[in-house]
Amino acid sequence: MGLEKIKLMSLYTDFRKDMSYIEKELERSVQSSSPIVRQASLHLLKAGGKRIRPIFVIMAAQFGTYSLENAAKIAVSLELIHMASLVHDDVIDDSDMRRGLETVKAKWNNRVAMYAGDFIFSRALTSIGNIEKAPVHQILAETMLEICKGEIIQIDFQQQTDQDLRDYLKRIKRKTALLLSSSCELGALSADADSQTVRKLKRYGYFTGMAFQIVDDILDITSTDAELGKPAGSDLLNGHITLPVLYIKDDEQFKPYMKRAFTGVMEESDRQAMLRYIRQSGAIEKAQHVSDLYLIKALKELESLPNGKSKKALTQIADFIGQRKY
Amino acid sequence: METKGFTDQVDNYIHHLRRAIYQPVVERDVGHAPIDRRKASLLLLPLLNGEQWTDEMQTAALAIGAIHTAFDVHDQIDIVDASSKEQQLMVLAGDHFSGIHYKLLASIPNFHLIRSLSSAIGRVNECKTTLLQAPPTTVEERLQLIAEVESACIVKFFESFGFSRYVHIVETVFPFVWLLDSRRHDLNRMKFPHLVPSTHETQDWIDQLQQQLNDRLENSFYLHTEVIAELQKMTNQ
Repeated sequence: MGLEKIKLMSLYTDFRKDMSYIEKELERSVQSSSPIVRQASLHLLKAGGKRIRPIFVIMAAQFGTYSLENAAKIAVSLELIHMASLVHDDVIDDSDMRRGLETVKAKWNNRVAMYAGDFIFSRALTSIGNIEKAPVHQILAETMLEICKGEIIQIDFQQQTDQDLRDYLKRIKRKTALLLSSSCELGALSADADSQTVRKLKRYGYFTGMAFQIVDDILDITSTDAELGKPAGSDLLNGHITLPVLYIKDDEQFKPYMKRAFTGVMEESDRQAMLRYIRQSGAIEKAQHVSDLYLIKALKELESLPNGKSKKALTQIADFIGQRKY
Repeated sequence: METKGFTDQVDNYIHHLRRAIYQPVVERDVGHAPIDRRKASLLLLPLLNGEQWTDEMQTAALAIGAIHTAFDVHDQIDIVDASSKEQQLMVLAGDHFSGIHYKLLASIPNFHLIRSLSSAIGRVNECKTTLLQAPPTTVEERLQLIAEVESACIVKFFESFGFSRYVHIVETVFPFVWLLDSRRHDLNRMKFPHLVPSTHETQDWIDQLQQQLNDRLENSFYLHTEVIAELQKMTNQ
């Protein structure tokens, strides 16, 4: 486990028992009569992850009448939806590595990845299907469709350099912020928290999610291949323009790098030179500033919520997101 | 019911399904989603046979159509290289159709059907993975899995709304038409073309399933003659 993940996990200390229950539920959920489906699903599950969606559900549910059983159904569902989308994303991006491990599509093939992703998605619905509250399902369904729409737009925008900040923010809202926002909202709803609290937590999740994705996009450029578990600069190599790149895309000296990156194949030395160029351009600092602004907004949403271990942990997670290194 | 009525109802359903799953970028770059008319007809069997059909059933039927379309699109993803824009969009189109299926069920809301369909979707993907990576050795087992892949969601729909008496028909028709497609060398239309048995074996199984279907139709006293005629047309050799 990386140092950063250990740091994040230390913020979950008060919820360790709950998270351990969720981890077991996640593993139980992806059991399958098909050995390949089981292996493919467990493969990704065992590779770990930050489990930020489940922890948001658990923490948000603390602001109402907490039931681990109910919160876990939602937490498991959201983490599985996230996992299913990763399995399909690796097909789209033709990625062979994720979290330092071979992807499902690399270990088996694209079709197995499609079926495994669809299987994991089905298990997500099985888990949340036991919550008989219509708004919960309507919110989740809407969120899923928006996430998908975001990805479709991302493909449509691939290699298009005439994008602006607004396009980028709309894209990352759908890509990441909405699911984190829904994690908080649904966690609070599962515990019948009052509507003001639900709204504040939803907004906290949204702002944190925006910051999380911006930092993710920064780390794609500033981290090493080993830290990322995939080649640094993958976003650009896949034709995706992220916030740091948005700031220098019109730089005449950078344009040739971008053009070559869009071919998807770059000499190693060229890729390193491109990453160095972005790092020293000032674009990283500008992007970091935008992320910080979102985190300030996120923390503001928490101010009027009752003090307690959950509020403390949510504050610390926001701080962690701003400072994480990979 | 006249044949035209039958055709109109299926057309009407497909029209509504197309509207429900519409996604402008996908439509522009990939084209119309592949809606399987035969599968739609079997899903609508109770309606076509004059059973009472409520708004809830109609919405649930659209949800099943959406998930079937998602399956069919994902079955078209190239096993080795899906890096073209069209293939990338097809991955996402399938996910979008899955999301529409869930949204429709959530709009009713029918929690029981969300649960039972999710288990069927899981099973369908287990069967598809088995058929792709480790297919059973006997034709009989393969046909059973193909029947499950094609009929599992329809079966859950029938069971949910008290139409269980139609289950045995769809479970027989699907493997039967798969074999018929293979004999017609309609490999583009069929799933798992690599599992097609030898010509001789195919004919034996076609004969056997034809007999089984005839027996079932004969014993299904509740089926209108027009519906039987449509089913026979669908399975016409």
